[in-house]
Amino acid sequence: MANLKDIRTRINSVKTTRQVTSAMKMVSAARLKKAQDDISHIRPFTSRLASIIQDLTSAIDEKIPVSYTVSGKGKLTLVLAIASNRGLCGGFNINVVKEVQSLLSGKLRDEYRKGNVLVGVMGKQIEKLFKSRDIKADFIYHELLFSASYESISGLANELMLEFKEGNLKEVILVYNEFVNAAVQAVQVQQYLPFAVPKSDTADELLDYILEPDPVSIIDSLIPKMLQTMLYQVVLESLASEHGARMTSMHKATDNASDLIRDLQLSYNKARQTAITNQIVEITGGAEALKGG
Amino acid sequence: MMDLYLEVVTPEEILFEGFVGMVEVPGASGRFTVLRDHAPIISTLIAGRIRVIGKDGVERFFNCRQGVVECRENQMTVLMDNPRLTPSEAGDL
Repeated sequence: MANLKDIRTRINSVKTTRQVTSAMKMVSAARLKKAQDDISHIRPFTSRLASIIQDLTSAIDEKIPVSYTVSGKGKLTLVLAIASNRGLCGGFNINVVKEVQSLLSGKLRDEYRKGNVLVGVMGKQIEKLFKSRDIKADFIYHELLFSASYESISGLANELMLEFKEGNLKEVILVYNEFVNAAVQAVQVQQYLPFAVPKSDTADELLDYILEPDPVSIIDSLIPKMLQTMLYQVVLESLASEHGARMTSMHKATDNASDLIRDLQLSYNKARQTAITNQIVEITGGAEALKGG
Repeated sequence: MMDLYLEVVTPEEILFEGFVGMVEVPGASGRFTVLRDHAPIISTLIAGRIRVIGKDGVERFFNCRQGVVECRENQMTVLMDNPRLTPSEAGDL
């Protein structure tokens, strides 16, 4: 049986842990709120932009080439995995890694063996996980997560578009956690480049649009804009998922710590009671012995 | 009879949504005005000021750096970058 002092020390240390986890939960909840707001702001923009592109592509002559929609001339495929710089968020990071692994051993297997698949990593935690699985991270974008601004993310998007246009990249695939709600994240594999033009299901009502200044320059300005916004939204989704995942896992950790404290408190009380009983037994035993003498 | 419905959306927020009487935008090939039952149009926007007269008669202005406008069947959408301007840019307008 553990002695009283040992149990007391353990209770105190678990209490400290609980304080830390519950503080982290609070912080994540606050950050989640902000990240959710950011997403709710970008979503209308992305959906409106997508519908304009859809209207535009259905309205123009099919012979007009839409930039970034056909496979690049290069032979390299970039898999960009987006997760977190920090841990303690449940399966958030490992799920992305698993998905990339199954991509590399499934769909992209042959290309990967030939060395035609590059892996881009956004998140220090998944870089470590990739390393332990012998997957080499070819590009590192950790710093973009610290201050995910529209400007910095568009910078990366422009870089990818340039590589694609110059014929170095064949396609770009994003792997990230989509934000469903605070407790649920869904790992998504999304083709980023070449850009898949949203298909309209209302093809019958074709309108004769006035296009200013001309179709080509509208496309040239809209598609890059769309790609920038898409990447930005993906990063925001991932950030919100991260905070959601961390909040949930810290909530569970706090609950577990509370359970542990309750159990420890019970055994502490039992031990204390045993000690007191023992002492009383000793005293009465001593008194009896004295009386007898 | 449908009135013209306008939405002004930036990546950060929806700046305006509602029924309007008139919208004037800085199109890439010249400023133009959109009224009710305008022909379908898609145009890119250049730096300039978007002028909106709402159904309530209130006149509103939005600063645009670049963007795109679509109007079809009395649904008008203006997508543009963040409207916050540096003082020097604002002075030019």
